Amino acid sequence: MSLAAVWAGSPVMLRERERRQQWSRVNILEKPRMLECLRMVADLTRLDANWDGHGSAKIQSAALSTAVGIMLQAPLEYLPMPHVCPVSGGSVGLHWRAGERELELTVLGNGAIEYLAVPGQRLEDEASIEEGTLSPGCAGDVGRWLQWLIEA
Amino acid sequence: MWRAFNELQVYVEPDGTERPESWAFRDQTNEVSLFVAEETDLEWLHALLPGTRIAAITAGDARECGFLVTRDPFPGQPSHALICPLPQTRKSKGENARKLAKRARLIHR
Repeated sequence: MSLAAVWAGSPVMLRERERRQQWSRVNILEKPRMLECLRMVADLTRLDANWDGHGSAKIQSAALSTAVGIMLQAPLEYLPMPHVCPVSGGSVGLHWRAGERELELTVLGNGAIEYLAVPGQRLEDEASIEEGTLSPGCAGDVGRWLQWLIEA
Repeated sequence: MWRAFNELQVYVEPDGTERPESWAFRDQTNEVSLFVAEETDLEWLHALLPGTRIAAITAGDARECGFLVTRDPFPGQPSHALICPLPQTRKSKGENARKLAKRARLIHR
């Protein structure tokens, strides 16, 4: 048995493998677009209750962490910069426009995500707008919509 | 009618044009607060809701986009009104809010 094979099965390497599975090895300092997106999400934490003048709650921590999770998973290098904005009730809005396509994600305080996918800007495209809700923990579905946007 | 909303809810189009995000016309309570423009002074509105941006829509725009329009005056704010998504359109409330946002005209101070 080679030394490498022995080392691969050692407790140290097994622990390292577990650690890699648990934590992303993305170095965000090397990804300025990701840093900018995370900064925009972080800016929302500065808003106090009634930030809209109409009695909205503060942006909820679950919505913020879900939005951060989307940013960390999103292939941002292939996407235009999203617009990140506060949403009444303490949710987070993420809006992308790629070519004629638009995607709006409303990240709710319970981790669910509402999506609105606009296929084009012509009047006849309005009939093909898709809208729905993704359950909490639906990263794959978010990825599918982001892929749809990249294909624009 | 004038709708005041947070500055962070302004989207800048690729050509530099500013427009309100659809979320500027959504509310957790399904009651979106506005003011009747003819009965409201813009300076008064800026003083009431400092730091907000203001967009103009017509009551007709709101109705055509699936909203009910109603007056909702209260002491000190007689021009206050509400638009509410009609029950049959609530499944597409995001789409309706987007349509309305596209019709809205931002008021520049």
